[in-house]
Amino acid sequence: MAKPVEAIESNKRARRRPQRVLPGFGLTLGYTMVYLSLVVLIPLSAVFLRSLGSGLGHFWEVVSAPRVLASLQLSFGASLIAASINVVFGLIVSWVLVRYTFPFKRLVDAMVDLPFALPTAVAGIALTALYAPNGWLGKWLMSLGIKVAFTPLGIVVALTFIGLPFVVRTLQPVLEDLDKEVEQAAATLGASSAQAFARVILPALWPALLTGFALAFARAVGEYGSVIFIAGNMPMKSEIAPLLIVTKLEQYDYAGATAIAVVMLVLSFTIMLGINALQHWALTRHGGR
Amino acid sequence: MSIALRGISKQFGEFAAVKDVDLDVPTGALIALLGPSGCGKTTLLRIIAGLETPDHGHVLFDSRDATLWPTRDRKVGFVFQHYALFRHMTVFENVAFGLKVKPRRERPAAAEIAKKVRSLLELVQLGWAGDRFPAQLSGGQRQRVALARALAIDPDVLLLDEPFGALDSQVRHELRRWLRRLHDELHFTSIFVTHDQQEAIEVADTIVVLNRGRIEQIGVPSEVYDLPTSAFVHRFLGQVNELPVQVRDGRAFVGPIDISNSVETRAGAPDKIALIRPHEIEIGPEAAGWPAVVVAVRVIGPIVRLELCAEGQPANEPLEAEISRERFEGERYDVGQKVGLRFRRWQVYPASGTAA
Repeated sequence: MAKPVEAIESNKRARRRPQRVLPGFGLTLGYTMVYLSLVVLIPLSAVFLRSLGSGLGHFWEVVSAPRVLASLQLSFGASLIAASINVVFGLIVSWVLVRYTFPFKRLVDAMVDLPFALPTAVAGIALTALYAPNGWLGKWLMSLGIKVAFTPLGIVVALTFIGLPFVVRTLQPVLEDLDKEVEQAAATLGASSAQAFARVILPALWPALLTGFALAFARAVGEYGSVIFIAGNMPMKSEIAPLLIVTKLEQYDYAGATAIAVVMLVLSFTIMLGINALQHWALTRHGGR
Repeated sequence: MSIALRGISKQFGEFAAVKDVDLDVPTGALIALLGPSGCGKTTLLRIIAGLETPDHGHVLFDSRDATLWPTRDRKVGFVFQHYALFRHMTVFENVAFGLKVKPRRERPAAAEIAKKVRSLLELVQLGWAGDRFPAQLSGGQRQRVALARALAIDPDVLLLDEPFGALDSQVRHELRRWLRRLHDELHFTSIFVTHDQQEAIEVADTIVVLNRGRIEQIGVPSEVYDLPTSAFVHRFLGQVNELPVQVRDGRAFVGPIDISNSVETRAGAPDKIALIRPHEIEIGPEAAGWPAVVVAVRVIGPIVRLELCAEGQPANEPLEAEISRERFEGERYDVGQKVGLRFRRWQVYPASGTAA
């Protein structure tokens, strides 16, 4: 009589703790939480606490100042524009790199990484020299009435430059994995190349394009080094939010600096969350996953 | 629509995939391109579809030169081995694709497209699956979607590249029969590629056997199976036992069996081999033939396969014989039993240059 009871007992236990196929779940999850706390959560919550240190009223006063609002608008606006530009041209660059063979292809491929590797200040100085009213490109653009350096347009140029590799490097592996037979199937069904691209290839690339966009955007929002050289940094016109934070820090206004930081943090997080949701939607459109 | 290939050659780098192939496919035929991997069968199919351009030669559609027509203008339905379905579209959208990409003036109205797609899905017995995504279907169901998608554009020709290669044998058998029925109902011209001789024999009206980029033999299935014109075709279309032909005193022998009346025996004639299919070996009492010992017995459903070590043959190369289950039940051969072999049929080929 004892045996069946025992069997039921062990059965219960087995049900309560289902066997996992991959070992180490507890250990790795614990490590992940500790690591994330140390590296991300604790510093960020410190920012939050610090920003509220001098009261909610002061917080509101700082972030609703016209100069701060203008800089936030500029930072996020320019980043969105730059990331969008990068999605279009990054797609073209990765398409060329994956689909065709041409001389010096590996060299071109390596060049994509330059914005990663270059100290951002170097990039900023180079772009400024190029686009300044007396620079090589700036001269010509000036004569067309387009002013790039020391305007918001210059900021977009710098942010586009540093964001390019993110889009290209996310798209490349996905493009390489793309089944050529699917395109050929579209051709046998009478689709033109443009139709095949729009209806078959692009939908398969959506998730990767969104990831690339998110990465380029995130990088652009936080960018400082390359922008401050080309921006001109005129308050209300071409002053980015990270620069404003640095300015406040230099004036020992820690509460003010962290207040702006908190707003940037919340805005970035919200946008990232939105992109993630979009991506999830695009992935489920892929069928049952 | 009839298709004709004239002197088609295609080279991939150093590798000659197709060499000077001529082929006529009459309207309404169901043809199998059969051969081992690398024999050029898929390349040939892709050339017909316009997915590859031949280096030399011409592709004729109803005697019009279609060699350089782009794929999209050829109106060929193409079914890929791995389905190549559009993963982000539902089954319905997949099948509707070919109709939706038509130029505006040829494109049917939305209601008409829906009606056609629904009838095609009924035809492939997937009327219930319109809202599903390909990832939610089994392999056999996906391949049926691919077929419905190819049929949606009312193709003049249906090309199938190893359509059942990735499926398990039960589903494969079902789909073969179903394809045959579909062909008999709709009468389009079909060409399908396979490396499975049984599939080719079961489904096709005509089998084209390819080897190293060339056509070895063309014929109806029974002809290709029973009267192969080369040792390659003989080997490729089923199991064979290969035995050397010995010439002694102006007579030819396989083991002790005299086959002189079917082979040239003059002195100095090149070496020959005899190919005998397992079911062409007759097993009798020991005294009545080539003495042999049964070394293995395997019952495979309705047939029984015996491995036989014949006298004078290397022990590690036993002959294979197949007899019916009924015969086996009557005779009860056992491992170690001594028997005598005779050949009901055989075919003799030159020994050199026959390696596949």
